[in-house]
Amino acid sequence: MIRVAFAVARCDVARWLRSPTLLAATLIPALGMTLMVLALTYAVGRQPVALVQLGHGPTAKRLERILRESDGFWLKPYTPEQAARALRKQWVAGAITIPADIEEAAAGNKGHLDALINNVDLDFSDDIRRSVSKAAVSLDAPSLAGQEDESETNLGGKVKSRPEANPYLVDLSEIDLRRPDVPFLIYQMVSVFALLALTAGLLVTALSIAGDRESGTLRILALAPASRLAVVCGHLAAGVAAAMLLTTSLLVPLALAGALNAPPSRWPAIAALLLATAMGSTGVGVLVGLATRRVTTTVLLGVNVASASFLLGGGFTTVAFLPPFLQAAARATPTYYAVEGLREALFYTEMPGLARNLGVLLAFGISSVVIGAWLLARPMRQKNAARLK
Amino acid sequence: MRTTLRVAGAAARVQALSLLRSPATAILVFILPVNLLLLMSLFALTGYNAPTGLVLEEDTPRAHAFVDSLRDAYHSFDLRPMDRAQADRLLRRGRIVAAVEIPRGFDALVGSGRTALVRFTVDNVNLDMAEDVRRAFPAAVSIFATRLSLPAISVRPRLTDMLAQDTGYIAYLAASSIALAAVIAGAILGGLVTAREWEAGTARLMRLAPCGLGPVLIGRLAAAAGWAALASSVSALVVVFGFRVPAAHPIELAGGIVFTVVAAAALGGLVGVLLRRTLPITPLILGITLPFYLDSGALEPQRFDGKVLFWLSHLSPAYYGVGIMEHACHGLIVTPEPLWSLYAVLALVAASATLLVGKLARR
Repeated sequence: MIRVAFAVARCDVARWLRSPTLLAATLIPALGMTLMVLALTYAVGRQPVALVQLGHGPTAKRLERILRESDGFWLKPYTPEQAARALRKQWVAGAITIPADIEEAAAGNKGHLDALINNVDLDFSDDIRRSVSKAAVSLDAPSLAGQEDESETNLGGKVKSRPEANPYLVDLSEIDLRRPDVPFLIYQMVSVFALLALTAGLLVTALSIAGDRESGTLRILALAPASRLAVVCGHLAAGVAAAMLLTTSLLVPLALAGALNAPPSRWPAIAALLLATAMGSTGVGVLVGLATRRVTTTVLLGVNVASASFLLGGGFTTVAFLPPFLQAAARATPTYYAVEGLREALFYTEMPGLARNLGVLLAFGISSVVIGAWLLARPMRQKNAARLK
Repeated sequence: MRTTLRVAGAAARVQALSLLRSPATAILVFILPVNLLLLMSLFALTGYNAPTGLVLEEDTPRAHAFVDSLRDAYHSFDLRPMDRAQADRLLRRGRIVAAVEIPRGFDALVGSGRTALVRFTVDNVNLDMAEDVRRAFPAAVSIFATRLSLPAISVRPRLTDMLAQDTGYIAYLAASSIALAAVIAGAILGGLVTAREWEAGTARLMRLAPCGLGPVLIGRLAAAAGWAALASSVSALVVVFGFRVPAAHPIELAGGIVFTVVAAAALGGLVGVLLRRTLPITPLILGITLPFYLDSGALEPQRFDGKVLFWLSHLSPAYYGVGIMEHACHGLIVTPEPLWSLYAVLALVAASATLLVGKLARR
């Protein structure tokens, strides 16, 4: 059995590596979705905003500095006319005006920081509203808006014991679960590992099975003295090998470059999760390959399944924040367990879901091997039954 | 010319029948855009109202006023009342983004003009959400101060909107997803039907026909575009009835689907003629379209992402499609170019790509 499985796996991997079309079919969807993650990372960042500074006194200058230091927007200095034109032409998402009378108004507690916002879409317009409000608050209550020196902050779990008095009568003691923040790109990269394992494992296996069916090799294999289980295991091993090849070729350089800062004790868990993800995804690939008759249909179904599994399983989102029925649907995909397991291993102090995540991913792989072997044997059984009749 | 049209018409009819008789590919092309539409909306679902644990240690008017301010802080918090232990547990397991703890004595402190200290714990693993809630906290405090008419505040934010009403993130993204559906369905089917001519070897035979391969391919592309328009219409129906996005200009919506699909099918046909193999068509088109979709104004007007990405977005029909769909659904202008020019570019792309398909087919 092992000899047959090894031969099938070797044949699949060789065919995959030697065929540019197969390589492209496997890599391009993953590459496209990775580029999508990068585009998303860029798109959810800062917004361009015009700054019209009419006042030039000390309060105006302080406000200007606070606004410039804000990570909510890219500030561009404009005259009022330029700002109006830039807003109209969509060069900026909003225009903030520091009024000419800000000094007198602020002294009489009647100052305003004006912001005109292109509220075409709630996501970025709310970002600007929050950032402008934070800037205004920073003027009277720097500690409330996180503008104080870092030595005075309470990052890393230290709790501020006494409030600093401010006119808002509320002070903030912010505690961050980790220090420093996890860059958004690194957070999103975790799902890219799962994506690579998913697309490579799924498509390599599905395409090799469908290719065998289309070329008639599957019928010849059915006559060979090899068990169906060995054939399916061979396809599964090929998919796992391809998936692991791709994920490690991204993971190792990132880890060596220090972009992924997991504690050394976590790496075995990460490796096990990636291997289990590859097995789970490859298992789905076995089923996709057996469900389709033509390679073109296999690609379409494979891409549908891969994108559904990736996006529903937490590729771009945090599943725990979705409505309960969507969380339940996400649990039907192998990506959910892969992404959750990898995020736990890389970013959290505890890994309560490790055993469950590994178990479910392996179960995906094993059950698909059993179903795959049964599906492969089915045509033979049907032929025998027809002959007996 | 008449013969050419007759041949193209016959080819379109045959292709349509072929799609109906072997529906696996056609059905999957129907499913893929709807699949992507539904799944992309998940991203928008978690883009605002971050799940936040609310630990309220006293039941007083000012504490509730502060909670209301948090709730009204620009769609930032989805407040879930719980005790401190549960909040800590959920935070450490990544089930909530933050926890706000309003201490005992809050009302008395604020009432007597002293400052109350509110504990705010943030899971800063997802920086996008963490930054949203960090900015939202001072915004909520500012709202709280305004509602309580606190006197000693020197500068307050005065926010004015350009448009009469906001458009929700999901509604915005759903409208742009119709353009994604049109591009994906059109380009994949266009690519598959043309590449199949070479893969099946019929292209060689067609060349011997008196009218050549060009009209046949154009006919096949027309059938593919028709099928893709149907697939995109299903996505549009899901958006209008499922996501309850009103179609402000229904005729424009239909026109936008047709123009985008035709341009995408012609471009897909071009890819099919160049590759002459069906296998890489779907991955290639999906791989190119998805990043271009996000770089097409799908999440916000594209110019906000800078000049390079703005000009790059013009390479994809998705940019023009999104511009049309946002106006058709919400009446929003999200491109600096006028609306008619978006249709014109799509028509121009469709015509020139079809001409190129015909020309390359003769080689």
